Amino acid sequence: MARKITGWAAFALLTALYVYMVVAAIGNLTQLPQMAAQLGLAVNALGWFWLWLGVALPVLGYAAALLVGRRRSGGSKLLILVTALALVAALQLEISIVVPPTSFFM
Amino acid sequence: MFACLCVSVLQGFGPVRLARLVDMGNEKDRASREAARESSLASGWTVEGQPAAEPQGGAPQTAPRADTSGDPRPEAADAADVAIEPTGESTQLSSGALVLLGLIGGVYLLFTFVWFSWANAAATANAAVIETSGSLGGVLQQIVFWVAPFAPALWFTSVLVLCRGARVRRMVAWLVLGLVVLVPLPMFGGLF
Repeated sequence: MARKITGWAAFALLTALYVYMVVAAIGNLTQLPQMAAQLGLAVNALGWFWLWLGVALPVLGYAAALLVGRRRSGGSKLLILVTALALVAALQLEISIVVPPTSFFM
Repeated sequence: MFACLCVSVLQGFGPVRLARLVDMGNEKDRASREAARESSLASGWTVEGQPAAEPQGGAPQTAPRADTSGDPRPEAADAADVAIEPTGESTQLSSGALVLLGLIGGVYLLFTFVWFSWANAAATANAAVIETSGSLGGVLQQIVFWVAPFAPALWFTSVLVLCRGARVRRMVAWLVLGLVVLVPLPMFGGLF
């Protein structure tokens, strides 16, 4: 019973982190164009691509993790979810470093 | 840690050598093998009796599982230990596969180091933002930043755990995919 509760708690915590990443990316998606508009700038096509990719990455990572771990035991499922979370976090960090934010605007 | 690894490797060797010797022997002297006796190799050494239930028909290279061979090493619960120690497999890996896994693991370690430096920079920059706002989002963002450096280690562990008992080729394919996905592109920032 305790194991089950711990497993579900870990699952909920991981899901919350995924949800946070999606919420933060949606925040970027909506706020950044507004800030750009205040400065008299507009987001270009490449900028929209990176902003939408930020939203899509956590969703895709979560879906892929659940798909890969759908027939596995609880521990393996959690391991796959953590791995996918770390992978998505690394990719987002990579994008934030490699793509300069100034290239979002025209 | 290293000493533990050495001990477990040595212990892993013992059963393999013994199994080969046993395979070379005939079936008729099985009874004498099952009893403890003095070794003819060096006086004073006793070869321990084998349990009769041990299967003899298996491949000679297949060593008994680590947990059945009386391994005194405590179970490695640490993820890092699991990542660099493939001795918990149901089948013993060949030495070539071990060398290959070690090489790939070394590259993963390098990736981890690079990701740590980038995550540190990002988290430090973000810490200034948190100080002014102090929001929950900032804390969660710090967690997300610090999860990123663990991606290579987690991928390596996942492949070893999930591909347990699978073919080495498949394991290596997943590890190479991880190398491609997790390559820290900012490291090559000066090249472009």
